[in-house]
Order: sequence, then structure tokens, then C-alpha cells
Amino acid sequence: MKGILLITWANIKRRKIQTILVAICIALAALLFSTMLGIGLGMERPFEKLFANLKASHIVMEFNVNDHNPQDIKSWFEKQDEVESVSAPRIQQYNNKRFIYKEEEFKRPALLREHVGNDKSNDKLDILQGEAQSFPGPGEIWIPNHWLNNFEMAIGDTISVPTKNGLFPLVVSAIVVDAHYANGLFDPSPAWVGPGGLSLLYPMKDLSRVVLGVRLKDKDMVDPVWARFNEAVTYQGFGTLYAFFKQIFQIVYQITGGLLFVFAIFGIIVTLIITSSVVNSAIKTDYKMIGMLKAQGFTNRNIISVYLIQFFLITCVAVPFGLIGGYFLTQLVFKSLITAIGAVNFDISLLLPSIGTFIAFLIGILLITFRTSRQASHIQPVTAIRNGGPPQKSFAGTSFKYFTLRPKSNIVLFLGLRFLMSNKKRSIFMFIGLLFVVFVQLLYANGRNSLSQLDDNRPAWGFNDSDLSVRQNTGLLENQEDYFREAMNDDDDRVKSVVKRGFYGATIPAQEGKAPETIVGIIYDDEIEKVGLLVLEGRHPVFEDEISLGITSSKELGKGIGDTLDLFLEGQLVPYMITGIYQSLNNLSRGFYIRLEGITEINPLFQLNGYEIKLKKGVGITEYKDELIQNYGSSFRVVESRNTLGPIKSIISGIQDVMTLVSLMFLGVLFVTVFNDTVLSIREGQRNLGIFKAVGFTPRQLQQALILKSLIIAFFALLVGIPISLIVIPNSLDMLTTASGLSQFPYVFNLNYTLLVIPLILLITVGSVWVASRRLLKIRPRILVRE
Amino acid sequence: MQEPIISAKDLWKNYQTGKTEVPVINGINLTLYKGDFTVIMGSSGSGKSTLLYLLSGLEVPSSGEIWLEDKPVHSLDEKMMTLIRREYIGFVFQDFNLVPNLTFLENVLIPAYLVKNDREALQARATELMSKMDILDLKDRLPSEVSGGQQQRCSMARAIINNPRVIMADEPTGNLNSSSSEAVLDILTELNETGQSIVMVTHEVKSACRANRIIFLKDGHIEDELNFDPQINAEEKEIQLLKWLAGKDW
Ligand SMILES: Nc1ncnc2c1ncn2[C@@H]1O[C@H](COP(=O)(O)OP(=O)(O)OP(=O)(O)O)[C@@H](O)[C@H]1O
Ligand SMILES: [Mg+2]
Repeated sequence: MKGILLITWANIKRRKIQTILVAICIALAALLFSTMLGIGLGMERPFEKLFANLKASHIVMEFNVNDHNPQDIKSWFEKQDEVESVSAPRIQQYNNKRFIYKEEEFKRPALLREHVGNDKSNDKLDILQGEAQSFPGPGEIWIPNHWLNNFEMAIGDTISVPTKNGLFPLVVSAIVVDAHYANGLFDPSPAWVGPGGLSLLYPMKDLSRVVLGVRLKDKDMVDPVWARFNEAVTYQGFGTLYAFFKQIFQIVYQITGGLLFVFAIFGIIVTLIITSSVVNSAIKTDYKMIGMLKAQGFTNRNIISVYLIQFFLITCVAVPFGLIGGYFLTQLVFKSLITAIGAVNFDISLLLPSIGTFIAFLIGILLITFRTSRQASHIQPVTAIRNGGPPQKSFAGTSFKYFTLRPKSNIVLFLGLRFLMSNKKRSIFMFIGLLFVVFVQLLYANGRNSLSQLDDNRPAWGFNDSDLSVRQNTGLLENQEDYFREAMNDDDDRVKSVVKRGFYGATIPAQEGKAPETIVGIIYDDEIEKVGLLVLEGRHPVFEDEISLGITSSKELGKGIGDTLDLFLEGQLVPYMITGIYQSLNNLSRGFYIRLEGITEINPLFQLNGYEIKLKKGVGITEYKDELIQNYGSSFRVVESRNTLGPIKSIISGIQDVMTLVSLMFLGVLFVTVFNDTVLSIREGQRNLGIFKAVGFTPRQLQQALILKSLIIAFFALLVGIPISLIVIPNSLDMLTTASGLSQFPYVFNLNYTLLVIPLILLITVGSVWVASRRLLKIRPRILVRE
Repeated sequence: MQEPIISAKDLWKNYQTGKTEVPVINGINLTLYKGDFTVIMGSSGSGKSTLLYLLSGLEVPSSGEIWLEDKPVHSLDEKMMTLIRREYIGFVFQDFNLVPNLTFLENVLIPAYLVKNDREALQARATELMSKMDILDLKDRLPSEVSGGQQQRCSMARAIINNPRVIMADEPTGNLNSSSSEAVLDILTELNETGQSIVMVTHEVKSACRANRIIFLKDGHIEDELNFDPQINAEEKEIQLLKWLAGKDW
């Protein structure tokens, strides 16, 4: 045993560069792997914890007090065994007018809700800044933390809330986190006033909507309770359930975690490849020594354990470094969200991911070491000592002329090809390693490009591609509206198309054990295609009895094109024919599109209050907007459509950051892989290199041959990797985003970025060989020959 | 009047072992002449190989000068040195040092192809040399597939393919049996008779008798030097050499 340890230690010391390289690769892969595990395992924790801390409701209902008596509903729920507590009904007010802060309109809609108190049983608010009170005082407003992303608000600032009698100032007295709307992906997002606070601002008749939250003892009981409720009561309001809150919260992590999962697997494969080639090469170089050890009585098991112990030690040292890196990367990923939720202190436990990574790596690396080092058992002591190395294969008489020396041979190329063939296994390993690097870089180039094209590629993400979004403010004269529309359609040759649109909430009745569900749809008065909305399948509705359905809704309802969907509208069941399925990041593809006539049939009073305007090419959007504002003043609110995707953009930029980081890491992996291969080539061929030098090769020529060898491998990796990647990448991105409601990732191929990957990879390959060989080629030929 | 081909002036070489510097060559002054067959003798560890490597430019001196004709080897960088070595030096090693995954023919051709020349002619010359050394039928074999003597003959073909000014051989027969040794020495003698300058390190008296000049190294300096009378025959040479070596540790 002592002998084995001595040899192991000598090996580690003698091959410092090798040891360090393998350690770096293991650390990189462990970093990716632990981050992936950390996000995977930790994804639920911030949400669950926040939910538990704030005693958040699993069912949040919003309804009109004219439809249901809040007390009746509250007491129905209180009678259910599974229910822990039901909140007091809280009044909520929402109109289309935007809040104003420092004379600037909010970009996204907000609503006001009464907060009945943090001392009450559920739906508490976590006060991040401001005085810890139970609820906002008179004239005060509590704002959600994610608003800070849009505005630099502070305690004591004034927010003006539009009312019938003009703007009403409220003073910000706390910045809070709410478990349901923590990341600001919900529209409109609530801000809070104290009990009775709304009746000071609005007339009683405008305060008919209340919110009621039901907290259950067990989150798994949501569906049965909700189903039971809908059986008992013909509910007409909205109901949002736990699963949806959670999904909205996790969407970022699902995508990021999925990406990291892929990368982590790649990282592990590359690490195993490098480990395997290092062990393989160690055995080649140690051939003579192994033969001699065997002759002295070492068993195969003794020899294998030399390598096992060696790589066990390296793994034990390297993985912790990766775990430290993983800790920071995980923090970084969670930070994007944690800032959105607020400085809530989530102690993300990395203990489990760390242990998991450690065990996985130990097993993986020891297995591969064991497998590779079993070659040592085939070494015959006599041949090893006599040959001083493994038996060689001749290329004489082979049909591939480049491998034999001929009058036409380029001597450097010849040498490069011989390096390539001198350890075929290692060349193939390097090729596979580079394939992964090519894949990751192309994924980065095109994936990142696709994400950054969000604004210009809005239809593919399920948003309309109008230039201006116009909302009608209340208090407009009847025919002024039509005048507005006609003005643009007929008289204004700068306008390409105008489509009028509005939101509509409809209930899908209960079916087969499923509770009824409220989904919000968008109603259009014209061809939806005019504002660029796409379908995945079929077509958007043309007639009043047609509907197109978001893909998530379609899956949840189990309905596709040609099926009939019954919606509960205005107290009656209305059948629609599904003509199209679409995807949208909006509400994660839950929702529907119906033509205006489809609603006015049932509710003649229904009116659309928004316009989507597409301008002709070359028309200045901002100028046109200013002109509209000038002409119509406060009766319309005009915004540039591309400015409305704020929170989604911030999420996407978080994902882009992670991709950038991973891409850089894989460039590091590329460098390390090539470096490692070069060092191995030099060491395995040390004696030959010495001979080549002695017979007259200059160091530069040897270096060129080594560079050529790696370039050939890189060239083939690009040749094979680029087409494969370009086919696989769009499909894998589809898979990654399906859970977020995008079954077809809005992939935008970028030829320039793709082509840029080629010189990038070749350059790093050359640089890596150059650095790796520079030092080693300085060795005097005498020492090389003597080895 | 003899024409100098290599000269060393106040040559020193130290090796770093751990923290201490070990002196190996201690101030050698030496001139080798064109057409000479010089043998270097000396006890093991006296610095024979080191001196040979220094003279051929494979090793860099710690101080001192080495001139290959008019070229100051000591002040050239590795690339220049390599280019000069291609022209001046052919090296033969004790353990052959053929490239194991190249065939015999390729091993011979490799240094030839490094110099820009008529490749077809080189091919012909390689074939001719190999047939002269009686290894032509082995030209497609790998070094591991032939005997030591055959390997050494191949490495000699490799050493002379570029017509170097000097052949340096470090114990070329050290790993060979007596008949193989004779064959190798015969080739060297034959080459020398056609005017080829040769420097050889050897322990064997019989091999040393092929030379016309013997240099004896001790602890890194030249202790003694013997020039044979060109008139005397081999047996007389051997007796003279044995006498000269008496009392020397070799
Ligand atoms: N790279 C080195 N580092 C340290 N010492 C060295 C190195 N190379 C040679 N030496 C030492 O230099 C001395 C001379 O070595 P050299 O090989 O020239 O001896 P030699 O006369 O050729 O011996 P032999 O007859 O055994 O071949 C020896 O003591 C040797 O240990
Ligand atoms: Mg020696």
C-alpha cells in the first residue's frame, strides 16, 4: 500500500500541468453541475418560503359584489376541512388610467387594493422599507418592490392616482413584497391602501370588486376544494390558483435551469473525456514503468489503484473549487429574481447540491479512471521493457498517402498528421470535446440573438407587432371614437392598419373533475393577423363563433382545432369553434382570441377600448405618437408598443447573462481541452520530439506540426458540429421553453454570429496549442532524448 | 596543414541538480580537424556525452565558445543552431533513437526532407545508402521490428543522408554484439577513408583503434591526448593504446 501511495504521489508531482488541467476541468464541470442542481432543487424554495411566511392564499378570487355576497363565499370556504383561513374581503379598484409619478405615467397598469392588516390571518405583506405597521395609514400607499425596477421611488415620495375628480396624491409609506405578484409579471399589479382608503378616492358605485383569499392547510388540496366550490356555487368571478402563481414565479428558473442542465451534462462529458484521455496517456507514457512494476510483482489491481487514488485525490481537491464557483453562479441566477422580489433573505441551501455534485463526480471520475486504466492489465512486462512503449503500427503501404513520407510531402503537415494518428483515441476524444464546445457556442450565438430580437420579433413571442398602442380613457364622447379610427384608416396615408382590441375574462365551465377556470382573452374587431399575431396551427377567428386558443390552455383543456369550446359569458354558456392554436409569453399561452362580434352577440354593450396601430414603413413612430397626443389630448393614452415588454425583457436579460457566462466557460473548456491534448502529445512523444530536434527540426516547425494537428481536429469538429448544432439547437430551445408556453422558441438564426464562431474556435485552438507547446519545446533535445 | 572544423575555447558546462550547480565540463580547449577520426574516451560520468552534445550544438554551454568553421555556435539561437546543425552534424546515438512509428525509410528521409533539395534525388540517395548498409529490404519495417544492429545502421544512414561535415557518434556500438559492432565500425572507417570527419565516444579499445586521434577526458577536462602514427597497423595501434591507457581509469 505504501508503495502504491508513493508512486501515486510521484505521478501527481511529476505531471503538475496535467494534474492542474484535469482539476480545472473537473472544477468547471462541478461548477455547472452544482449550479444546475442548486437551481433545480432551490427553484421552489424562495417561492414556498415566501408563500409560507406571508401566509399567502392558495386560491385568490376576485368578483363583483353584485354577483356574489363576499360573506357567503367566505363562510362556504371556512366550512371546508382543508381550509386554514379565509381573508376578509378586500376592495379593489382598477381603471384604465395610469398612475403618475414625478409627472411621468407608469408604463404598465396598476390597481389599488385595500390591505386589511398584517395582523390578520392571511395574505400579509412583507415590509422591506418603511415603518412596520399593520396597514397603510390614511393618505398613504404601499408599493410593491418590483416597481423600483421602473422608477427610483423612495419612502415619502408621492404617487398620483387618477380619480374622477382628478389626480389624488398618496404618500409612499412602505415598500413591500406580496407573495402572489412578487416578480411583477402580473398585470395590472396591485399597490395597497389602508382599510376604507378607497372610499375616500372613488364613489361607492366604482367599488364593487372584492378580492378574497383562501389559504389551505395543504397546497395539494387546491384542485379538489376549488372544484367542490364550483359545484356548490355558480361562480362568476375570477379565480387564480396556487399552481399558476408558482409557475409565473418559476418561469425564469425553468428556462435557466434547463439551459444549465444541458450545459452541465456537456461539462461532465467533457470532463470525463479529459480524464479518460489523461489516464490513457499516462498509461502510454508509463508503459515501461508499468511493465517494470509488474516484473517486480505489482498486480494489475495495484496498478489500477495507483490511478484511482490519483484521480480520487484530484477530484477531492477540484470539486470544492467548482462548488464555490457554483455558489456564486447560483446566487447570480437567483439574484435577478431576488432583486425583483426584494431583499428578502433567502438562505439558498447549497448543501444538498454540493453533496450531490461531489458524489456524482467521484463516481463518474473513478468509474472512467477504472475503465481506462484497465488497459494497464494488457501490458506485458517483457514487451513493455523491450519496446519502451506500446507496439507501433506501420503506415507503410496504406492507401492514405498523406500518412507516408513521399517526395511531395510537406514535412510539417506530415508530422502533424503523425501526431494526429499517434494516439487516435485521444484525437477522437478531443474531437468529441470540441463538438460540445461548437454546440454551446452556436447555441449562445443564435440563442442569445433570438432573445435579443424580442422587440423586433414580437409576433413569434406571441405579442402583437403594432407600432403604437392607444387606450381610450373614460369620458369620451360617443362618436369621437369612430372619428379617431376613420381619421387614421381613410384619411391618414401614414397608417398601415388599425385594429381595435380589448380584454375579456371568460370562465371555462367545470369538466371531468376539473374546476372551472377563468381565463382572460383578447377581443379584436378586425383581422388579428393585421397586427402580426401568428398561429402555430390553423388560423385565427374570422367569424363570431370562432376562437383561437393559447397552447397551454389548449393542452390543459385537452381541446384542439375543430373542437368546440364552451365559455361562460354573462351568465350563459356560449359554444365557440376552435380554429387556431397560438403561443404567447403573455400569460404563458393561457388565453384566447375572439372577434368582437363573438362577444357583442351575447353582450351588445361590450366595447373595446384600445387600438393597435401599425404605421407604414418609414413613418416616424415617435413623431406620429406626439401628433396623436397633440390632436386628441387626454382622451387617449398613446404608448409605443415596444416599450410595453419591460419585465419580460429584464427576465430575458437575466437568461442572457447566464448564457454569456456559460459560453465563456466553454471557451475556457476549449482552451483547457486543447492545452491538455497538446501537453499529452508532447509528453507521449517527448522522446520523438527530442529525436526530431536532433535530426534538424526547428522548435517552430514542431510547434507548427502540433498546431496543425489540433487545427485539423478543430476543423472537423466545426465541419460536423455546425450542421448538427444548427439542426439540434432550435429543437432543444423549443423543448426548453415549452413549459413557459412557447412550444416553438422564437429562434432567429444569425449568419454572422454563426460564422464568427469558426474563427473564434480556431483562434483559441491555435492560441492554446501555442501556449502549451511554447514552454515544452524549450526543453533541450538532450533531455528529451535521454528520458 | 590540417584544416580546423570544430573548435572549443574555454568551454564550461554546469548542471543544476536541486540547489547546487554541478560542474561537468571544466574549461576545455579543443580543435577538431577535417578528415580526422577522433575518439573521445574517459570513465563513466567524465562528461564525454556532454562534450559531444556541446560540440554539436544540441546542448548550450554555460560559458566558452564553440566554432563550427567560422560560425559561432555559442551565440546562435536555437533556430539558427538547428539550421547549421542540419548542414554540419549527423548524430548517431547509443540507443539508436529512431522514431518508433516511422518506417526505416521514413526515418532516413526525415532529416533529408527538412533541407530544400531535389526530393527524388534524395529518395535515390536514401535507397543507395540503405543498400550499402544492407538494410534496404527492411525499408518498410518499423524500428521495433528489427534487430539493434540493423537499427544502428539505419540511424547511420539517417546521420549521413545530408552529407554533414562531421558525424558524431555517442557509443554507437554500446548496445550491439561484436559482429554488429564490426559492421557499424567498418562503415564509419569507410566513410572516414573518403574524407568524412568523425567524432566518436567509446569505451572499447578495439573501436578506438579505428581513430587516428584519441582524447582522454577526466572530470570534465582533457587529461591526455594520443595521435597515432598513420604508418602503424591495427595490432600495433592496439598495443600502443593499451599502454597509453594504463593507469587511466576508463
Ligand atoms: N541533465 C543533467 N542534469 C544533471 N547532471 C547531468 C545531466 N546530464 C548529465 N549530468 C551529469 O554530468 C556528468 C557527465 O555526464 P555524461 O553523460 O556527459 O557522462 P559520460 O562521460 O557520457 O558517461 P557515460 O560513459 O556513462 O555515458 C555526469 O555526472 C552526469 O550525472
Ligand atoms: Mg555518455
